[in-house]
Amino acid sequence: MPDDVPNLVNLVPDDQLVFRVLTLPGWYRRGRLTYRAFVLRGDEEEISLGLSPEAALEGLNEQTYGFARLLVRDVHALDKGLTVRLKPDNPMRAELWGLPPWPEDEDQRDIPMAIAEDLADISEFVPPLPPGNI
Amino acid sequence: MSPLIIGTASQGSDMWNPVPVSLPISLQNCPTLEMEAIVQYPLDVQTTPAGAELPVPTNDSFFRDLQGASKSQKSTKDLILDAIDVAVDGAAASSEGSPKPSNAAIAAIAKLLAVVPDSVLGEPDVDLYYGEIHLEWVRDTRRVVLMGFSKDKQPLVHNYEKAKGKPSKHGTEKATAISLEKWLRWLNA
Repeated sequence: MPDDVPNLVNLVPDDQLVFRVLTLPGWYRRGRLTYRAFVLRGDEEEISLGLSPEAALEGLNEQTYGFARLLVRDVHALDKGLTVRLKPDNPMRAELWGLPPWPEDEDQRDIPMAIAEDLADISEFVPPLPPGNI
Repeated sequence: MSPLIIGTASQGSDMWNPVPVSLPISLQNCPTLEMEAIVQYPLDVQTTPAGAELPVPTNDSFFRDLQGASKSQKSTKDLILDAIDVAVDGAAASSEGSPKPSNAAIAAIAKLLAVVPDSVLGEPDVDLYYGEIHLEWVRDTRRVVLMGFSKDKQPLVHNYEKAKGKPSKHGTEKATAISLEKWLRWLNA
């Protein structure tokens, strides 16, 4: 199978909730999640998710600001070619594939921004875990 | 400011030589010394009816009034530029190492805001993204994002609307004062 074809075997079921860690305060403003939480940064090709808040935090040592919670069905229903796939090495971790890269050419920003806004729109904010739960 | 020259000694005295005199600090800041030192209030103006209990401000309300008076002197665009300053200062102080916006990026945003009426500017979220400035306005299902870039690049304005059960509508175009005002009016329509 070519590398650029999504591995459908690892798709996360539609009724599964997934969690995106908010690593910057600007990703949640005035009671709502912002598109900035769903923009690929640097060389990123996918966005890391967890099947629980605790799993989403695995391996992170930086300050975090809560979570964006998404229902996989809602992600697929956007019909933007996005897929949520389990990580092969960790059944509690997942990845969101199919996001367009954040283009160097600013004139090409429209679609990546709109997809990021779509994702923010279907997300719900989950506050940070209490220190004892991490 | 050039020093005020005063000579008051009798003729023939060495004190005829001009002596620079420093003004009190408050006067040094006056744009002109020709203004009246005492403002004349009309005597027939009475703000509190005779016999009425005079309002005594508490400390809290007094300081709140002062803050309100101070805030009201700033235009909406000034407040937005202040918020950009705070964000840039915060980025400079953080250890993330993300490049902060150039002065050119800030100037391009300021130039746009300067010609858009305050009445449509509202209170955008201000955020930085790898040297870019993003101002985001949100109202119900509509969003407008103004992006300023550090490179010599014209800012962009992005619009987005999501109606329930329908695909989102969106677009991005070069930001001019006209296009920014158009989309901010659309946001509030």
